[in-house]
Amino acid sequence: MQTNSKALFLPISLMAAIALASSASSADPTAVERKSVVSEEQVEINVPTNGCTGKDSFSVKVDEAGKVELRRVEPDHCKGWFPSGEWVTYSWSELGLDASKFRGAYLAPDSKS
Amino acid sequence: MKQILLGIAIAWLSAASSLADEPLSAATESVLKELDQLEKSIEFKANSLGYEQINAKTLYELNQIHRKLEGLNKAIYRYDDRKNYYDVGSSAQSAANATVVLVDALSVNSNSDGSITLPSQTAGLCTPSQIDQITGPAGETYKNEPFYDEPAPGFCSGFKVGRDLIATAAHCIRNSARCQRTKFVAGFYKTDKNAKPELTIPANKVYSCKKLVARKLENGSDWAIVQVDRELSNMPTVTLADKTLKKEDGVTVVGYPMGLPVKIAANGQVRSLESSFFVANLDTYGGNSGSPVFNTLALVNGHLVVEGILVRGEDDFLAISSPCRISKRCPVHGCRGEDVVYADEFKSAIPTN
Repeated sequence: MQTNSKALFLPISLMAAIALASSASSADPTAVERKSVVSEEQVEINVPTNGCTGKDSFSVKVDEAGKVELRRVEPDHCKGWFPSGEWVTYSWSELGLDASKFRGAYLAPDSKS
Repeated sequence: MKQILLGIAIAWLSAASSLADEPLSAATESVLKELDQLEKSIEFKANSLGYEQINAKTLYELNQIHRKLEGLNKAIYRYDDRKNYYDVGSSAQSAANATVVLVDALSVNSNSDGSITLPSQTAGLCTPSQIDQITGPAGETYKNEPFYDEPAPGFCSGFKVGRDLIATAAHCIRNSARCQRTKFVAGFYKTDKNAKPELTIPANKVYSCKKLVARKLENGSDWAIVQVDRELSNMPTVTLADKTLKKEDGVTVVGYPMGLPVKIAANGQVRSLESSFFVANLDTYGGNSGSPVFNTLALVNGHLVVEGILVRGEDDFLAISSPCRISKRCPVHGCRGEDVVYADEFKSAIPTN
């Protein structure tokens, strides 16, 4: 069974650390919808950028349920205008996830051909 | 259903800057208000007569006094300094004529006559009716966004530094591939208050990347030099300054905030001097990266002297829950300031041709 490499756009939440620790439904002023693209090999996540954001801008934390948290560790003070954000890519192994266990769960059924 | 089992959260750690301002006394408020009105009145007159003819120096001096007063009181929000092309005098227009807006080639339509049509999307700023309905966490209200209905096709700014050479910020042109994917567009401005900017740009004002000549993005420095496909015609060449700027000198930024038609923001003032850049309180946004920052005193005397390239700065928008963007307003001496890489940093990298 083949999988479309960019088959699924998932809405993901951009939340502050406190909101994550408490309730996702709390009114977080910085919460905006982001996107991710999941494939057999990797997950691509759209992140906000002013032109100076890359993978190094984030630390990555993954919990046992496979919930991935990107935490910005390097601020982006640049002055480019990229309202569509920037895509950062992580392989399943980079995320420390067992691909065979998780990737099927992340892919929607209709994304498979 | 196996949909959306992926819970990805991005913790946004950029803390909102503290804007703890001390209130001004009523007397000070009154004096500043009068000064504001006087300044606007003189500026209006200077504009109507020709910016540099009679009152430019007076206006500049008045601005300096105003700045000093604000500095003493430490807590006033300056009004938005950005102006459209039609709203400034010929010196500032000449400075704007030296600039280009950087546009993603994939976002434009190429026409058969060689012209391009820029996308018409706006920057998502709040409209006046939206602003009226928004209150902040403490019940505060917000000022109108002056350019909310203008198109915003650009992603960075740049300016002519040689016959066929453009300077911009390095983070705007990360590599040769990005350079090839960029159109450098001259003449993107509003000519009249009621006119919409022309989105179809004639071929003679659209340039493509021939070569990424040089680039540096380290130790606070952030610049790139691009050679375009032909001579940059009908654009003035600027003079690149040595590192002679001093604290409190006046600076003016000319560029494309949020990719909007060109804006000229005078009244900036140098706050501090670092090794590869200086910090100023210029009114800038994302999209201003690569903007030339002019010496204001030289500019009002008709000389296009560039002190540096705008590259970094304060967050542009308030971090509040809102369906649209609201500009963050800082005290004259508040927030982090805007970083401008010295022209001296990249002067020697410009090929002589």
